[in-house]
Amino acid sequence: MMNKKGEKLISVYWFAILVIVAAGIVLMVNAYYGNSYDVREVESRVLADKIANCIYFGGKVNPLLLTPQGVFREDFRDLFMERCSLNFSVEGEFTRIPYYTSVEFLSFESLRSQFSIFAGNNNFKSDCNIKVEGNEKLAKCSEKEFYMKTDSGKIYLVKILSIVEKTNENTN
Amino acid sequence: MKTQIKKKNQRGQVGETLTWIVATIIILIVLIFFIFGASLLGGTKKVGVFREALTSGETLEGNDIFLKKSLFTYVTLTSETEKTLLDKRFERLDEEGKFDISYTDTRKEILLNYNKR
Amino acid sequence: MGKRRGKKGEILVENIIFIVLNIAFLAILVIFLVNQGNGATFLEDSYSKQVALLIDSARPGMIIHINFESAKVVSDKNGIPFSEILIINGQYATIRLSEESGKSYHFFNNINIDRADPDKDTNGEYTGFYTLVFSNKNDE
Repeated sequence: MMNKKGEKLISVYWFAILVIVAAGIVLMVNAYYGNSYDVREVESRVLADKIANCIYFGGKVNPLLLTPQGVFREDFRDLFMERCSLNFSVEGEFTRIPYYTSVEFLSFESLRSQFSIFAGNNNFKSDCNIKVEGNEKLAKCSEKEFYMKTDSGKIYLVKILSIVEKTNENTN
Repeated sequence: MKTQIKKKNQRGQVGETLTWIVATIIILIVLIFFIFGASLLGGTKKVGVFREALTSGETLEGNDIFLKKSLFTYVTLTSETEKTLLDKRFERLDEEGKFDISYTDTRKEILLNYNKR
Repeated sequence: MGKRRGKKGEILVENIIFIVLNIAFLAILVIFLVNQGNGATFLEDSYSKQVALLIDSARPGMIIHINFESAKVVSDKNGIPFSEILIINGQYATIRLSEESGKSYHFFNNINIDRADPDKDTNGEYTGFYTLVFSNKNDE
């Protein structure tokens, strides 16, 4: 009789171990397959590339950006999304726009800002300055720059900041 | 005799319980280790360079259009002062690791191509 | 003699229950693992993002062929017609590989997608590829 009680206790324990191991396997599978691919770094880079090509392509400045006298056109800023074939609109009344971009044109010698363009949700700008561990929940930023020369010979440093948030689709 | 038998039986039961406790602890430690490993592996699903099977290897990998645009501007400059200033800025950016591809190689290539024209 | 027989019967029933419950546990675990490994959700996540990024990088006049062979295997298993696994609606690319799931990803390129159709071979069978043709939005 004593042996039977011992066997029953071991059986219960055995099932407890089975449950623990099963739970462990489920957690492992979820830990791996549950993670989404995070493509925001590439995405922000693609966005920056697209804007750069819109402004300066094949060694030529976009003719809609400057007047013949070399002055920046305000309507380029106003119609920036259309001029550069961008569409940040998202579905859902309360869904926030997950992108932000800014383009700054600085003079070559003094590096002073001569013209700037902004588009998207500027709430993510502060995420770029935060460098902490586990910052997957923050937006991904890409800061790129290049030098462009206009037809009149003026040189500008163009700084492009592109930010992609989309944390729901890219993180857990 | 009966008392002696009882004591023997109890020792056996205690021995088995101890074995199970140790076994449970080892199982838990191994499981935690593997769960941690699986979550670390899951964390590596960050896509930095776009070289999936759906696209060619030359899509974004090994390209820096910003450097190329700047170098093209550089080769079209006529003023030596401006060229020198731009050279210094490129070198500083290269030191800071701001370029995705080799600055020296790309510069040589673009100078070569521009001089051929 | 009678007591011994009773004990044998109890031991056998207990063992049978023990083994059956073990098998049931393992079966449930294996089914769960196989479903996860099937990867419909996993592939939807991966494909929707890759298609969105491809569209973002596209320029008017481009024709892009996308390999959906791995997705076709899963969609065929789940009874989703291959012609319906990729849907582009507005600024969203949606991949659907099973009845219960689907994943959409937003793209920012304001480009016109003239065609987003599956390719067929000479026999009319799907090849596992999709062709996307792009044009300027103003060319509509």
